[in-house]
Amino acid sequence: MWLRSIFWLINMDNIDYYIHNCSISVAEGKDCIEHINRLITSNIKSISDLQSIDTLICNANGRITDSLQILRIQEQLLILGNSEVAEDTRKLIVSGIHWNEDVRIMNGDGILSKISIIGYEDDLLEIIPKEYNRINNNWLNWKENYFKASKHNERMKIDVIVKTNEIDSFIMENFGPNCNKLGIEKWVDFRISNGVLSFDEYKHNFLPSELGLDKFVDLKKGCYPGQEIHARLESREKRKKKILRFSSDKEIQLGKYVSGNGTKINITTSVGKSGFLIINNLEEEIKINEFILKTDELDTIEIS
Amino acid sequence: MGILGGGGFSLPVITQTEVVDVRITVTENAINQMKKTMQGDEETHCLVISAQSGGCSGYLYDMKIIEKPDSKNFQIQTFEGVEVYIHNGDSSLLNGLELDFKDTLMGGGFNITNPNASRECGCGQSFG
Repeated sequence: MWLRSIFWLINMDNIDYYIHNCSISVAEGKDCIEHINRLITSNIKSISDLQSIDTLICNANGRITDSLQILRIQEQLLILGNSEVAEDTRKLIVSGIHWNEDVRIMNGDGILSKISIIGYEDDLLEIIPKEYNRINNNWLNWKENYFKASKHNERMKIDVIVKTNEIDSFIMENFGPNCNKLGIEKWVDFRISNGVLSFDEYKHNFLPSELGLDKFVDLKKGCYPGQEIHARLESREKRKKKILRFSSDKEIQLGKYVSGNGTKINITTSVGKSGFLIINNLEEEIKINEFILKTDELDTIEIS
Repeated sequence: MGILGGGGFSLPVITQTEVVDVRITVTENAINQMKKTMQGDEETHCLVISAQSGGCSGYLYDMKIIEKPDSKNFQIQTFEGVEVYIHNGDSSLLNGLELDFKDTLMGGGFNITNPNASRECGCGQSFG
């Protein structure tokens, strides 16, 4: 214990944690995978124990309504979505259960939480269990919680599913008193710099391809809400909108901006030290209020 | 033991609560076809019309002729001796539908017109 205390004193100022504002549901029953698979854009039919799959829920017009992270834990599915649309998503899931299927949906809001620990890899590798193999991309059952680590540029992020009323003790026990709770502003900065999208992007009714989320859409899995639209767009290979990361020395607000030639609307969806911008004309020079923005492509795009 | 498997807590199960009295109409053509398909098994079998999530528009119709299930949680209508079962969980989605049968080589078969659907897929199997 004293060794860990010394480690905390030296390193823990570099480690932060963020409590996600997400909605958590649990699906169980022998048909739960089949049932959830009919609703989402990815194929989870062969999801294995402790594997997670990131996916989208779209409406019949193909527009994103929610993003989900689905984690299989033995015979149950832990479904993490966005709290802003939690009720709509849960209603959708429950109302479509076939009378002859064995599926139960439970509400984990307020009982379970997802937190992200962010720090430098060398510091965090001292703490997480040695048997964790990041290469297999699965979650690990760790001290009655579940965690998964991922690398983001020079930082490492560990997502942990924990009981809500045990967050403080979990942080204290494993990371010590100097592990800092991140506010939303710093989390937004981390998200933007690492290409992690959130409900701030989805709430504008974009298609998956417009946010660069094609990898979360499986057109070969069969019908799901929005599939007809996605298939048609893919076959035409036309894309008018695109997500970019921007930076500017001017203060840029969230909102809609008329494009350079005055004919299209560009939208800033997240703004921190830099921001996400959805442009509506791929050909144009990108301006906001006459300021030319520096933009770059997102080399990786994730959903949170 | 994982977080979901123990720890002395259980999560509340969400149930669908909206149940309405179901009234459907079945055309003469559809009744004749149901009888033909059942081949005299009307005493022991029934047609179950149900909805499940999925399809291009949000929900998929499902129709099955099966041995009569436990009638608890079902609403039953009888058409010339053929019983049609609709589960309470589907009642708000399927109330008011009309079941027809078209005896044509192309686009034939059972056909559902649903007043609750704001849109339907081209194939007629999905609605939303």
